[in-house]
Amino acid sequence: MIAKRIMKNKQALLGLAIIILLLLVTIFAPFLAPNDPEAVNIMDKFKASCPEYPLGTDELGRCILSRLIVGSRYSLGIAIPIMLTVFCVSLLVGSLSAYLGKPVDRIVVILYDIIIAFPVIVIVLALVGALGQSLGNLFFSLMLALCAAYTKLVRSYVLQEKSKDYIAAAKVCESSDIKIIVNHIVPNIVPVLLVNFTIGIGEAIVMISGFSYLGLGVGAGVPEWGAMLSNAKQYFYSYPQFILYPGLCILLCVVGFNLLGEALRDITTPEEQL
Amino acid sequence: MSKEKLLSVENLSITQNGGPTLVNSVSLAIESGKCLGIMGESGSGKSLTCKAFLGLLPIKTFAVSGDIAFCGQRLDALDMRAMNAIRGKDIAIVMQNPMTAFDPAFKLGNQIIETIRVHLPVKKQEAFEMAVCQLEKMKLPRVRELMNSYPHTLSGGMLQRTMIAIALMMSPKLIIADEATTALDISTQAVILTEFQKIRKLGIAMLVVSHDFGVVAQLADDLIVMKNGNIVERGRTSDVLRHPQTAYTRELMEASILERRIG
Amino acid sequence: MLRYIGKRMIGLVIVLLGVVALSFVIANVSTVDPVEAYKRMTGANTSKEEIEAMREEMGLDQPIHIQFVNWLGDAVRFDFGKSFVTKNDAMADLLSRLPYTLLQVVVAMAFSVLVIVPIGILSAIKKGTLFDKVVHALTLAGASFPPFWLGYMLLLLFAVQLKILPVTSYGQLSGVILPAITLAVPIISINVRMLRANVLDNLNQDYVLYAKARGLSNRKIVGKHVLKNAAAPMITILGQTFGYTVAGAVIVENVFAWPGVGGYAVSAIIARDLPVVNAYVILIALIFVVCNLLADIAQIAINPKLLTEGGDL
Repeated sequence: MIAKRIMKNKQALLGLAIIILLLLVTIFAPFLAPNDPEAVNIMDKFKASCPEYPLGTDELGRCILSRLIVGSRYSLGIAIPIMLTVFCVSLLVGSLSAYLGKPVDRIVVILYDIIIAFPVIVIVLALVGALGQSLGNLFFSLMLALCAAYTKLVRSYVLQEKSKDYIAAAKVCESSDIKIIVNHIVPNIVPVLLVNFTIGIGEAIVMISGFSYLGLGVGAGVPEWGAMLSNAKQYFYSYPQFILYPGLCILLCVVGFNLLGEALRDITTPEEQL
Repeated sequence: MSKEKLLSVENLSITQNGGPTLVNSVSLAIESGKCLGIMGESGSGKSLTCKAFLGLLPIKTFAVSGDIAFCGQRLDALDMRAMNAIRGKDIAIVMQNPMTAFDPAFKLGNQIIETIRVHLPVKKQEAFEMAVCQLEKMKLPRVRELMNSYPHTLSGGMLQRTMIAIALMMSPKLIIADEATTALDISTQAVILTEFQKIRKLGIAMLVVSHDFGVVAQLADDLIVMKNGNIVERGRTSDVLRHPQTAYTRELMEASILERRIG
Repeated sequence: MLRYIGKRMIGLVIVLLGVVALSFVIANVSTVDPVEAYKRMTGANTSKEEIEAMREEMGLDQPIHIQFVNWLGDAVRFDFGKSFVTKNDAMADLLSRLPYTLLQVVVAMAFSVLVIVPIGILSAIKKGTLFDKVVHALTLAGASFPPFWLGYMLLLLFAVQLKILPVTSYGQLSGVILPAITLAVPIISINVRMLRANVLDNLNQDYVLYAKARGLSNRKIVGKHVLKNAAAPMITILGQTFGYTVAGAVIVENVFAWPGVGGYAVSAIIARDLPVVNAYVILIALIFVVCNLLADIAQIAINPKLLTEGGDL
């Protein structure tokens, strides 16, 4: 039923189209890339757009287009699994915590309050600083920070639902708490959560490329968009396109998810009354 | 004294933009000093009709047509500024939901004073004293405290009486009471009805909109019954009450009596 | 109101204690051995006895709970030790750079508010018109730009092509503009949306109708009543945004080589300069939490109704 309304909404369709396009590129990246993204050809460096290298080459003669295409695997390939995991974990923890009340709730709230006392960036910086720069550490710290933030969100939604009349009615009918959570509360908050998570994927992509840009994520030479941007800094004056292209890719991803997320928000909010 | 028509409405029609006709060619008149009651169920169009007089219906949503004349002046032909001068001064309205009618972010006194200063060239202090005077006249308790309170700290009855005070302060020619008692409990309703009767004694014309016959019976000289945007019956209140012409009117009367018995 | 502040202060202290404890945990799971790091600092070859003496001096031979207490004591006094790199007091180093970051953020926030209020209100009043649609598209784009990329694009446009602003100005006032704009763009985009939604909600309210019925002009209704009601919830958001932006300035500072706190912290991380990283984390947490508290207090001062309603404040 939501699917039908998505089909009717132009913005949602546009966003969805962009996302599907990106997913296809991510999945079929090796086949779509015209050249080997890692192939270094010093002779061909700084080439302009030509049939062999559609977007030209970088300072090591690597094909930019190929690197961009393969780079999608890092951005989307990291962001989407992270967000999916965060979705599941926060849904689980958030709804249980809100529904069960004290003392479990108290503990969970104190825990996430401490974590979200820092902006996500700071948590990641701190953990990566302590544990060392690696993709794994980036993963771990991002997950921790995001789980805390989204658990808080889920919990507040569940608390709102919990106080509604139909839950009181359900409590009279249903036998167990689990049933109420699963059958009533979760289905009613999932649409709103989807909005947050869709937009969250876009934010995650920006964060991941941001950290890579700072040098805290993927290793050097990896064709990740943020890392490519960082590398391009030194050629800012002579070859600004090195910065332009990866940024455009990130922008496209985020725009796609934001379009869909916003449209979902319009779809899932109840119609205003006259 | 000649009974000139204070408010004269002819063929008022209200349509929802691109939708159904909500009020269908309604005509009515109020003479100065008299009280007209409009009766009907929810959705009969009675509230929309009153709002239309004051131009309070958003143009984007509603299309209003017809002649509306107040003291001989065509209201529908006025520009925004002229309309604002009449609203709250010559024609004042007391609304249905006192709890939500005031801005929750400002103190009551602030909102009363701003109303006064929109219409009269007085300083804040003067306006303050005017307000205090009127509220005390209406025997409201602890008036200065009232002025200094936020709307959410006050009861519905208190707020409703404040709305009446604001209306009276401007010496209006016509007061419209749009379901003014509906949101209140029975004892507070009685208090408000008494206020309205005092207003009648002052010679101020009134338009009382209600779904409760009891309210209308106490206040109105003449009566109109609306159903689905049309007027189905009209006449002097005493006549209609004793000899309702249509079955619908009779049903409404019975419903009101029942309401009073139960409530 | 005072009771509320009191309650929040206690909450603040608890959270900060938790933060400090967390930092302690992180520092101890870190793979950086402080003694080794110190060796790097002094650059000399040390013998085993000297290493042991070092441990004793640093208090690292004590049992873990004593270390924790020492840690807490130090944290309260804002003593995080000396930077491995600059050999200055870590916190002092950071604090010297804080004004630069704050300047950026303050300018960005001021600029944002100046843009958000009129555009948000106009967009709501003119709902559905071309103006509204254009604003909608712009805010979507604005919220989607990766900040590091936006910074370079602005740099390209204003500094390189148009040559009206300097490319690099280490700490000078003219150099604040581009970073501030870069920071402001996402803030404006998100908050214009929110203000617009709030204004629209308010325009539907009864009090607006009654205000009209009393004869108030549209300008007065929107400019006084609707504005206050619509803007009040945004104050908390803006307070949080301030804290967030101070942290997020990390990336923008890198792009513009702006000598702020964030840039320094990143180089500290790469250099495994733990004291600085710790000091940074605590400092940012402190700013963040204080900003949130101030924002909440401001919101209640504007709208006292919230105090009685309780809720998740």
